[in-house]
Amino acid sequence: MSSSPLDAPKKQNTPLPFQEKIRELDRLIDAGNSLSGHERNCMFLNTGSERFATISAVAGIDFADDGRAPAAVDWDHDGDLDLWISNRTAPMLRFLRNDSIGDNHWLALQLTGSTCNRDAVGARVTVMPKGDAKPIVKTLKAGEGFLSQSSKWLHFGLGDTTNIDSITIRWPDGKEQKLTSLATNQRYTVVQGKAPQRAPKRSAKTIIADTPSPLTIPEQSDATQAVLGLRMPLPPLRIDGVDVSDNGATLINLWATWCAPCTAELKAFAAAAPQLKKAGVQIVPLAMDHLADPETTADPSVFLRKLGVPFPGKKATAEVVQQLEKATQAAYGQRLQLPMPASFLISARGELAAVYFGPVQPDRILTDAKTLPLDSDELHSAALPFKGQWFKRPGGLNLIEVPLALMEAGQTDDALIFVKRAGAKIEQHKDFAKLMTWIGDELMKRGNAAQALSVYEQAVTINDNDTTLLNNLAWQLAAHPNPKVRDGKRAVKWAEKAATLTDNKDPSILDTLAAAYAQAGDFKKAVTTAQRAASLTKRQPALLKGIQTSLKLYQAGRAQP
Amino acid sequence: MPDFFHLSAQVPDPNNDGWESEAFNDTVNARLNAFAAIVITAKTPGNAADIISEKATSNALRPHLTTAFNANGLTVQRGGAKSATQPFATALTSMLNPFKGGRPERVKFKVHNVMVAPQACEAYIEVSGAAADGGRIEQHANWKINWEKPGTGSELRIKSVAAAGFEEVTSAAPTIFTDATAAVLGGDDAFNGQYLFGNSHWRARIDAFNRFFKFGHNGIAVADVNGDGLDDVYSCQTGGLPNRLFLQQADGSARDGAASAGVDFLDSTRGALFADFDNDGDQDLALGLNGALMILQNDGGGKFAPRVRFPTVMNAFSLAAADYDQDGLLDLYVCRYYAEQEDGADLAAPVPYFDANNGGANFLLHNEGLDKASGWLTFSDATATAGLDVNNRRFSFAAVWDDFDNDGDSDLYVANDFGKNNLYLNTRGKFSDATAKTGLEDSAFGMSAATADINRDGITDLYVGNMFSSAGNRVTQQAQFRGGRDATFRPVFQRLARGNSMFRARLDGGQLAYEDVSVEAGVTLGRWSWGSIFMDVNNDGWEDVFVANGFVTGREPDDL
Repeated sequence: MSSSPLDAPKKQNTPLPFQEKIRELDRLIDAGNSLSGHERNCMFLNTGSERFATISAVAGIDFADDGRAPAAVDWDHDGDLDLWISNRTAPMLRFLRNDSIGDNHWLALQLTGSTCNRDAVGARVTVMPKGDAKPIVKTLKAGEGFLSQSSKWLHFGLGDTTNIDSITIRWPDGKEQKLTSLATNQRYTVVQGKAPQRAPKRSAKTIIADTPSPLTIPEQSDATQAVLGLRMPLPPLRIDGVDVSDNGATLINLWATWCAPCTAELKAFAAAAPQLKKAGVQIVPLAMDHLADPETTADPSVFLRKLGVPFPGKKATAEVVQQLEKATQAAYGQRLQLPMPASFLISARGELAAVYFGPVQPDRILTDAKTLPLDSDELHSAALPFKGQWFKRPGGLNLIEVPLALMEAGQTDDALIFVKRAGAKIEQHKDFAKLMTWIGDELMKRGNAAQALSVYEQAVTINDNDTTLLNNLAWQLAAHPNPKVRDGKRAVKWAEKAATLTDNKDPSILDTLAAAYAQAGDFKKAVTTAQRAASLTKRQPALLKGIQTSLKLYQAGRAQP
Repeated sequence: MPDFFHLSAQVPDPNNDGWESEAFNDTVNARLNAFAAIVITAKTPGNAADIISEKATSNALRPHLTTAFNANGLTVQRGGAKSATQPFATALTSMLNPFKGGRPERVKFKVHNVMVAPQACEAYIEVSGAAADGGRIEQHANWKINWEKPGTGSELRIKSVAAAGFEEVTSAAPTIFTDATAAVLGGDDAFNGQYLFGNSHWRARIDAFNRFFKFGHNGIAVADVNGDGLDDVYSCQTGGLPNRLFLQQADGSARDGAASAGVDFLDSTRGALFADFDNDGDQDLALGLNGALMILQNDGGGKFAPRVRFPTVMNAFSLAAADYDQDGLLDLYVCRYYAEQEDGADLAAPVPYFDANNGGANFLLHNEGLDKASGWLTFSDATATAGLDVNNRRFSFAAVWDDFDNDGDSDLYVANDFGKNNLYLNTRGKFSDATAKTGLEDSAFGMSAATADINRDGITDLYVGNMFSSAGNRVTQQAQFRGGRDATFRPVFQRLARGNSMFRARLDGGQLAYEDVSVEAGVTLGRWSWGSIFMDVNNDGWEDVFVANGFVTGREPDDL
């Protein structure tokens, strides 16, 4: 274990207890739990006297959907308000037709502004039904409720009144207009300042007037069966010491001897093995028996031989399963239990390309294998279930956790392989340079200086204004004990960059720059730079002593020992 | 101490967290579910001795009824005065008598208070089913149930019930609404392929990097997009699923035309709003995309072109338009919920969660009219100049413009999660925060806002969607609950879990004041409410309420 440079003083906000609980709730939802789910929509009937009665069931709107945004509209122009409701659950849209119980009367108005906004949003209409002292007042709105907008037609229920005493429109600009002699049960359009006009009757009889067929909701499944739109890099997945993705694309199939769908699937894979091979996909079944039950006597090799399928009986390792699970979680955000069987299509570059929770047909794999040569936008579009346009095509996976975990576990080589596989997907991360420094430090400790230096250089290329990185790299190139590692020219390049960034005022960086000049053979510059460094080091005796020792070397025409 | 309402991740096993009352609630719930199953299936449920004591008593469960409403086949009756104690079995049979065969189809309890010693609970009961005469019935009441254990090791039985607040609604027709989704959209491939599956299904198939969000906040907007006199509906979808524009056909069905209209965005979209922003007679479109607030201009035939993009106004929730400065051009208010660094993949992190002001900033976008050279719409950020940058970082889900104070201009009410809402009163285009003064803070989990005149006195009343939480009601009533360290917090927390709110307005001598009439009006129990709107369902001239609710239904049946 080595310590992460990311642990360096960083302002960390300690989450409050309830914030931790919220995160825990997120994880429970991600694991498929319900949170105030299965709730039924409600309807409250105004019974007058500022009291309401609950009519959710008799109204027929009490669907147990995760309801979100309702919008009211007389969709079919039959004189009552129908409902569109968007849901989180299937169906994500419902249309509920109002069946107009009874014979109450109504009036619908569409307003058009002339001297105010043309939609007349903000207009207030007061209807006085005959024989009723109470006005019916409505404001024309654009957007209310939650994420919803109802029709701009103002719909007035009038009860049993067939006559209207008066209608007053207060337009948004304050002008008032009185409407007279409107018939009930009609739709009118009103242009500001003009007489109302009857809206044309719709031409066709609506098909929804008949008894509608019930909506059939197909079976839903939250088990992933999908091609990733952005492939998820994986660390090397080693079985028997071999990285399974070393030989082209691989389908890792997690199975167990006790799992009947698994054996059926393995038979299908075996039958389709030639086509899969032609498509460049090797099948690697990994038995899970011993992970679930360490005492098991099941032998996957024997089992597969008896089954008559030509795959080697390899056993899954906890590490491999964990890496695949983690990558799937990162890709989809869910935290579902790994089902049996589960398969993972890995590209030749060692990236997770597709995930199949539950059995998968070989045909599906052959189809999905065709996406393996695709990359970036093409792959992204191919992975989505429907076509559409992006305003801002999303990108960016947060991958830094994977190599950090590998470094924590002391797996420096695997971390480096992961970084290579991830390529541009990880280089933009703000902590990328620090990760590379950590990897470089570990390689340096192991004596693998040349590789360490190239890792440092990769880090400073991405993050070329980090003076700590630059200083460290330049010093290694100028003064590494192994002369083969030294490279005066490169040392000068990075040290000069660091010196410029610090306005030639950081004595420690100038000390490095002097060593770089000396290593490059320019002792004159080495001496003047070291002298400047010394002049800036009055209050740091240890550093000053070192610089003075070096200065003597440079004056004698020698580089760092 | 567990958190109040569902925020306690420990709720799944209250036996372990020292909340004896919540463990008792689990027991009681299991018994009530068993009782409900018997009521639905057994011919004489009153005889189910393993759940009901032979000596169980109650008052009349369906007491002397008074008719509160009776029109067009819809009848509302409410229970009257106190009634005599009688055998529970007799009272139950008489309550269920109006149902066909004496058996309802659904019985649901919501336990909102529990007492551990002596063992008792209070629960809302809902019973519904077919009526003997072909119509439908539903009953609602509040039962206080005393429990007993006949012997050690035996299960709880109902000892006695005291019912209150009985309400029965009967309808002559089987239902008022009919699900006609299949008739309207069943012939549309886009609907069948995309909408017949829910968020959890798609989440397993669309990578999270698409900004695929699990909460399913799919907004909708209704307007006549192509000028054919028929309203159409635009439906927002989360990242990776295209938004759809369902265009109404002459026969009332609808077909998706999002791609040819240029609005088939795959970007995560929550809110959408149609309005004629350029006053040219067609409906333009504002969209709350993940990456920007976008406004598109309609060419008059239902084709849209993006004109305005506010990249800083990311992740918008509800949108609402009004001409606040009465210059003849519609302006746009944009609700935002998550703080800038969060995009909404997870639940928010409000601080403190009963009065949070660390969410995303809301925006008022002022319509500047058409650019002379390009003919394009232009908008500017007027949030600060109009005075709306006050209490502007709450977790805002929704807003509604209306003339609250009857002075002729558009005022603004904003519903906020985790604390106080905002009423901004308009004076010639400048706003002042009048929330506390008018009594409209409604400190709770505000989800939606709608206005209407509920009592037909000519003044705008208000309905706010919140959360009713059985668990929150239970926990906050326990002596053990301290609401942090300060006992004075108890009413604050109890109020948070109460449910939806209705505020009735009064204008006395020009002074605007609201009274919270939610409980008396009987409109709090909207569950975990989202969109809650007014609509006159039965054309009688009185505004009714519809509430869409339910947060996340997962594959696991048990609620957290």
